[in-house]
Amino acid sequence: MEIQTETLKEPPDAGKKKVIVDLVKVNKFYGLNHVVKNLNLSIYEKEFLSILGPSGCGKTTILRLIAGFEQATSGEIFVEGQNIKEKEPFQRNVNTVFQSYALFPHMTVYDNIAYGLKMKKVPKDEIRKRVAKAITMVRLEGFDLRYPVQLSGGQKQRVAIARAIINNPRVLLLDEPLGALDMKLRKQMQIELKSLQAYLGITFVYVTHDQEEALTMSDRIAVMNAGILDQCDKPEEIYDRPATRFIADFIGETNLFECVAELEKDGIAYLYCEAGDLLGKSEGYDPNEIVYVSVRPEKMKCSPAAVDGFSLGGIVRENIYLGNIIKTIINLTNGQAIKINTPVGAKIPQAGSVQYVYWDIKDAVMIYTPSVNKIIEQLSATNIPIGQTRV
Amino acid sequence: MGGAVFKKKNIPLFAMISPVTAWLIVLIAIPLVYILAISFCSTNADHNIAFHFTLKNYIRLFDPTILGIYSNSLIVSILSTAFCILLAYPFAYVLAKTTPFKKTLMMIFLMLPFWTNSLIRLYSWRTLLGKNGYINEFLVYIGLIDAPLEMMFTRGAVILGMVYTLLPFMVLPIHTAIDKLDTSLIEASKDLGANFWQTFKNVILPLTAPGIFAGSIMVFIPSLGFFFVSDLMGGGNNQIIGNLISRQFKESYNWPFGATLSIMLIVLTIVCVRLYTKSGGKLDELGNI
Repeated sequence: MEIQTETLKEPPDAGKKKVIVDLVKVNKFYGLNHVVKNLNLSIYEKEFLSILGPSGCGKTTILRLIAGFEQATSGEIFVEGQNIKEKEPFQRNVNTVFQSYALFPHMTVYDNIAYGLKMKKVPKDEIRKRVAKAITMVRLEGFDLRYPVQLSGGQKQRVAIARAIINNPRVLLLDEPLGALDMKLRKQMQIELKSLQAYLGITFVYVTHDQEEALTMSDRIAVMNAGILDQCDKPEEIYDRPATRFIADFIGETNLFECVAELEKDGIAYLYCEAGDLLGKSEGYDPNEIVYVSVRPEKMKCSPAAVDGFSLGGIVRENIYLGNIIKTIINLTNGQAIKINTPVGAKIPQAGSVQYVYWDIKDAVMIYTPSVNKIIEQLSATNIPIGQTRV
Repeated sequence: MGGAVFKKKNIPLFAMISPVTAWLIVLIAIPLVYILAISFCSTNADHNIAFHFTLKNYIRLFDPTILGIYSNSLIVSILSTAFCILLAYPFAYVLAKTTPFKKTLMMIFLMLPFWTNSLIRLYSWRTLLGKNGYINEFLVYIGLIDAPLEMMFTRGAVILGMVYTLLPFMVLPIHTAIDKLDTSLIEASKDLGANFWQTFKNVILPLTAPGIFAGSIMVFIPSLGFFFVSDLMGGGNNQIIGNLISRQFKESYNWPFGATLSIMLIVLTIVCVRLYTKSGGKLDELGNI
C-alpha cells in the first residue's frame, strides 16, 4: 500500500471513458503556503466528480486552476488534451458557477444569462432562443426582466447555473454552489443538479465540504486533506474502504482504533491498542507496525462477555434515541468513546452496564498510514524541497 | 410631537447639539438668507445697498458679457472634469488592485502636494510654463521652437490648474467604487468569454460609474468657483463664475449683483447634485471619500 496521490483507481468502465481534464503533478503556492501538493487527477467525460474536504484544504484552488483564474506554480493542466497554460479563461470550454453566484447586479436575469453569447457575438435571434431554452431548463420562466436583488437565493442559484451552461461548456465547475441555501432547498437543488448533469451530458466538477452532499451526488469523490489528494474513488468505496485515517474520520461517523500489529494468521490480523486486544483483516503487516482500524457505528457490536480475540471492555454511558436508530455510547477503559448504532426495536445494552465491544472481521476497515518518511519521499518527487519558500 | 421632544431626559441631547446648531444658524443660514435678500436689491451712488425690491440683477445675468463668462466657466469645468476622469480612473484602478504597501505609497504621493499651500503650488507652474519658464527655455534650446510659446494665461493653463488642484477629489470616490467591486464579477465575465475590454465596458465601468459621478460632482462644482486658479493661471483673461463673484464684492462693490451670481451658483450646484441623486448616486458617497 502507498499514499494515494500517485495511483488512483480507475472507474470500472475506464476503458470507454475519455479523460477531459487532466492535472499532472500540479503544485500551487500562495506565498509560503503550499495549498495544492503534487496533485494528479484525471477527470472523465460526463462524470460528476466532487472535490471534498474541510475548508482550507485547497479544493477551491483546484477549481480556480482549472478555470484559469490562478496559475499553477508547477505542473500541467490539460483540458480536452490541450495544455491550458497559454489560454485565457475565455478560450476554454469550461464555465464556472461561483460560490457567491457573482451575478451582474446591473443586468436583468435575461442579460445575465445572455452575457456569454453576447460576448461571443452570437446573432440576436439565436441568443433569444438559447436564453429562452436555458431559462426554461432552470425553471425561471417569467423572471427574465428581474434584477438579481429581486431574486431569492435559490433563484439566483438557477440564474448562475443557466448563465454558466449557455456557452455549452464541456466541463462545468461548481464552487460550493449550494452553500448559501437552506437545508430543504439544498436537497431539492442536489437532485436538480444531478438530473441537469445527466441531461446535459457534460462533466461536473463540484467542490463541497459537505460529505453527505458529495456521497449522494457524485460518480466519484476526490477527498482532499491539507492540499493532498488522499483518495479519489466511487462514493461507496470512499465510505467502505477509506484510504487514510483522515478520510475514515471525515466521511461519516466511525470508531477509530490506533493499533499495533502483533501477528497474522489465517487472514486474521491480531492487534492491540491502548484499551485492549482486537482483530482485523490480514494485510501483510510486520509485527509492531502501527495500523489504524476503523469500524462504522452500524457495524459495531457489544456483549456482556468478551468475545474471542477482543478485550475492549467499557461502561455504557448513555443510549440516545435518534428516530430510526439508537446510538449507544460506551466508554472504554482508556476513555475512548465508542459509538454503536442499533435499529430501534433491537436489544440495546442498559446504561451503566459493563459491555465488551467487537465486530465481524470483514467489517473492520484497515487503514495503513504511511510513515513520515514516505510522505517526504512523495513530496520530494515534485522537485520542491520541503520547507522551501516559493513566492 | 413638540411635547414628546422637550422632555427632561432630552436636555443633554439639546446641550450637545446646540453649539453646532447655533453655528449653522448664525454663520450659514442667516448669511444665506441675507444674500438671497440683497440679490433682489440695488446699489445707490455710494455703492451701498439700497433696500428696495428689483429684479434687475437677475435680468443682468442675461447680459452677453456675463453669459460669455458663464459659458467659459462651464467649458473650463467640463473639460477639467473630463481630464480628471481620464487621469484618475487608471490611477484609482491600480490603487484598488495593488498590494497594501504600494497602495500606501501611491496614496502618499497623491496627498503629499496637499500639505503645501495650493497658491504656492500653482505659482510653481509659472516657473515651468511661463514665457521664460523651464519648458519654453528647453524647447527653444533644442530648437523645436523659435520663440517662447504662450502657455500661461490661457484657457488650457486654467484647466491644467483646476485638474492639478482637484484631481484627488476624483481619485478617491472612483477608488472607493473600484475597491467595492466584487472581483468574482470580473472573473465571471472572463469565464463567460469576455476579453479585458469587453469586461471593462460591460461590467467594471457600469458598476463603478457612481464613483465617477461622485468624483465629477466633487470636481465640477468647485471648478466653477475656484477663482484663485483662474487668477493665477489665466491672468484675468479667462474668468470663471468665481472671478465674477469675487470682483463684485471686492472691486465693483456691487454686493447685490454678487449675491445674485452666488445664488445662481448655488442653484447650479443643487441642480448637479439633484442629477446625481436622480441617477442613483448616494449623498453619503459624496462625503465618504
